[in-house]
Amino acid sequence: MTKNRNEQSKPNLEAAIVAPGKCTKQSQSPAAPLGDNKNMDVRFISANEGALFVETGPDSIQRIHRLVALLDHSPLDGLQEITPSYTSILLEYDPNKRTQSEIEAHVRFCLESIGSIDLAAPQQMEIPVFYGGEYGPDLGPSAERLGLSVSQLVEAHCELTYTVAFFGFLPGFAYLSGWPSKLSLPRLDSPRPKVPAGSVAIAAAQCGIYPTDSPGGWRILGRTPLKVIDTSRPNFSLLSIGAQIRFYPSNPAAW
Amino acid sequence: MGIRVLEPGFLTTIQDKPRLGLARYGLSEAGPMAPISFLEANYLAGNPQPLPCLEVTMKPPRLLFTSATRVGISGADFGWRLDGRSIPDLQSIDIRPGSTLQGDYCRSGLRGYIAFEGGLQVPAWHGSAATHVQSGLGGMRIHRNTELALAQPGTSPPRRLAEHAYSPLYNGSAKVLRVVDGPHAALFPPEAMSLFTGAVYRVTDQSSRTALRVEGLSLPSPADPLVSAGAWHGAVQVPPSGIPQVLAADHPATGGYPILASVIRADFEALGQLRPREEVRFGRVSRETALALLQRLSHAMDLT
Repeated sequence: MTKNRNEQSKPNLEAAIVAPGKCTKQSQSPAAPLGDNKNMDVRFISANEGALFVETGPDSIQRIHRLVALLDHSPLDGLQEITPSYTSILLEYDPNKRTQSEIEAHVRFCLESIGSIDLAAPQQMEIPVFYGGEYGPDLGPSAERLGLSVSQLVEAHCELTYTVAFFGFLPGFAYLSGWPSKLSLPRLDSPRPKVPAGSVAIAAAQCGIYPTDSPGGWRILGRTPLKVIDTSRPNFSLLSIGAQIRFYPSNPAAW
Repeated sequence: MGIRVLEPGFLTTIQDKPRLGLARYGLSEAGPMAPISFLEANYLAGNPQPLPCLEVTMKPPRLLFTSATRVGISGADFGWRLDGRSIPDLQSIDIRPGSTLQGDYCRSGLRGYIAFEGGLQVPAWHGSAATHVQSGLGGMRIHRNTELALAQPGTSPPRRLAEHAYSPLYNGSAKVLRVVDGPHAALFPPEAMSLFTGAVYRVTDQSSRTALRVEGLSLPSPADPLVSAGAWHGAVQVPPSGIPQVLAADHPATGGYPILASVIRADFEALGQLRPREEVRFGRVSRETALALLQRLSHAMDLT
């Protein structure tokens, strides 16, 4: 696996990502224009002797998802983990196989194609939620703080489409972006020692689903009967990065 | 046929090479907390590549063997005995059916490994049988009466090691973990790094496979909070309390605390062997030094 990086990955990229007939000629500049007319300028920050951050700046979650897809389609021997978050991607590599400058060059190479890739259609998911009562102890108080009725808050929560921005906190805990700032509430003053698995909760401009019983400080609106993590699934998580989520009200009798 | 667990010890888990590729779903890599000892134990068991084995913590299990096998043992000193007789260090141990392996509360270090020729027969999940203890995903934690299956005994010759590749570094009475600057080092007030590397910390019993927790000097924090970002084994986070903590093999995949420094990979064994109440100091090295130390260690650990 000591082939030149470009020889190794370029044909792979074109075959795997740029569908024939959909390839538009891109500038070879590392800051090729994107569909949203924002330059994909990145900054590399060393994390340790075998990891670095690719920082993509604020409001860049879609660009991050595109870059992750490009890195996936152009695998580099020695690149071990790709961990996206709101404004950066952590890349961990085997420093016995790769140098930091080789990893940076690979990222820049992938970025050249960022405007031309067709991402696979995101996963679409409709998630049933038992709102309120024992399943959503914070629904009533949250509605009151926001000056809404309980049914208005449920309606607001169900009429939006959320994007899985990234995972963290717990295995399978998806940070969902899309909850509006005007309906934001801070975390609880003191976290609950045990939030049940499946709890659907909000904090700031985020929504999340607790995959397992755990301590937690988000405001719980309801609970889904779906199993958020299941080791018999190929990647154990019900959701994947970039998935489009909608919630709908349901009740235990329907399950 | 294999092993029956008579006593599970304090925390005994199946560990294997780290499980890579699931951090994006929020699952960190798990795997051995003391990677040098993990490799040595597997070598002594006759496994050219590391295979699923037992990671023993603080208080060892008592194991009854129901079939013959060869084991390799390395790591913390548990005073291991086979049928009541001390076993020699640094060599393969052949075990007959009906034998019992046991030890005592660890005398030095914290974690040890019992590896078996051909490995424990446990299913791999995403390429590894490593146990992620915090979530219970992958591998397993052993309990009383757990039955573990072994491979058929092999025919390889017994093995020896001249010495253990790891011995602790000291600065006075404190053990030393070497660090490189973390990604947020420049965001801290300028005195933070020298306070951090000048202080003596004491390991607390809140430490786990998730993080090494210490008590001691509180460090100043960056002025502005950070957005959550990827986290890794070795990252030295400084939460609002100012008391640093070092993430370990079962770390959260992302975190929002600023990362002042990172324990170098060559010192992961030292990190995994620190015991509650031991003193620890952090010594700053360059990235070049960290890479050279890792290269030297990788060369020394090329045991096959």
